[in-house]
Amino acid sequence: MKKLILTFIAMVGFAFTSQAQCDSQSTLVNTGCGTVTCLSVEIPLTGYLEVDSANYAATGGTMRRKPSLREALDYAAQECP
Amino acid sequence: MKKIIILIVFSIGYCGLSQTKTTKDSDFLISYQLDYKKFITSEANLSANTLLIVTSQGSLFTFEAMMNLSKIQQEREITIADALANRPPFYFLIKSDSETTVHYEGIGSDTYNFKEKLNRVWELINQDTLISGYSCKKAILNYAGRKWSGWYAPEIPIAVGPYKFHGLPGLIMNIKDSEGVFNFTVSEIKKGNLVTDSRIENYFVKDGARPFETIDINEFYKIRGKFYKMNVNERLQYMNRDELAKPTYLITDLNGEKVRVNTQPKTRNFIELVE
Repeated sequence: MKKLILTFIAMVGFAFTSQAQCDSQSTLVNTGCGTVTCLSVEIPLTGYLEVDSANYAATGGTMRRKPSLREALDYAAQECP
Repeated sequence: MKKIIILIVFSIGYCGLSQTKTTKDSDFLISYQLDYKKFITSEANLSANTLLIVTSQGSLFTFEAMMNLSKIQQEREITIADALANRPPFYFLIKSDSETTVHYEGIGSDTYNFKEKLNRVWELINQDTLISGYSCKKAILNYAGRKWSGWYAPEIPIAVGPYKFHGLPGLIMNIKDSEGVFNFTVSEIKKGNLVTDSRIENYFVKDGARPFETIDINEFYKIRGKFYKMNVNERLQYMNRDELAKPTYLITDLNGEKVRVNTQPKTRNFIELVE
């Protein structure tokens, strides 16, 4: 019984932890005024890249990357001045 | 004769020692609280801590947050948490000697620097007040489109102050503009032997930064004015202006739902009222 309770607590804990994370192409940005978002930079692919790689086409003509720190800070400054 | 030689040697040694001691305590670390209105529509004031370091080589003025970034970046790369925890209202650093000042400022992915002469034309006013226990005298100045009134302490005979306000016969203890947008007040004065990080790039966020660029002062004001009129995605595109494709932010909440962002920029206040 004790083991079951501990497992349940661990599972709930894990669920909460994994919720507070962004995917691998996003950065968690806590603006400091109540807004916590996952920030990502979306880039439309040029014709050249679409032809060149099947992977890019599969993502609907866009690719994503994590923002640089300067980009994330600039976003945060506008979102929560 | 021997006694005289010993006396001379001793005197020279003593003078040397006392000079070393004076040099050691001649540096100043002055903290100013900056109260400011960030936007032209702001009603409430925000506050930030700024630091002025004065050594025999000159002075360095910046935000405490940028000093913290420098300390971290001397040892390791900063993280998003470091960068968010140390956000100054403006990313600028001012290095001055007795005649010239060099202004470094980060705008988006760029970091610019330009030189400016420190030939401020102060008008000394016959008024006194007491600030932090120091007897102060008043002076006024027109600088970069604003009227400034300052209080300086003649008993601290260093001709420096916050930002680029220099040249009074005493440390500037308080200076504010006539519209109440910017107000610097001394909060602490320390003396000691101070060391500053000579690598200016350490004070700025390095990740996503272009190399430092020396620029004409008027060109700098134009770029700054233009950048802060852009909305969030226009700024992102400006930061990535060398890329062929135009990027946009994808912003989601922690559940993966798209979030609407406030894309219209507010008009920012700058110390200089010029563009």
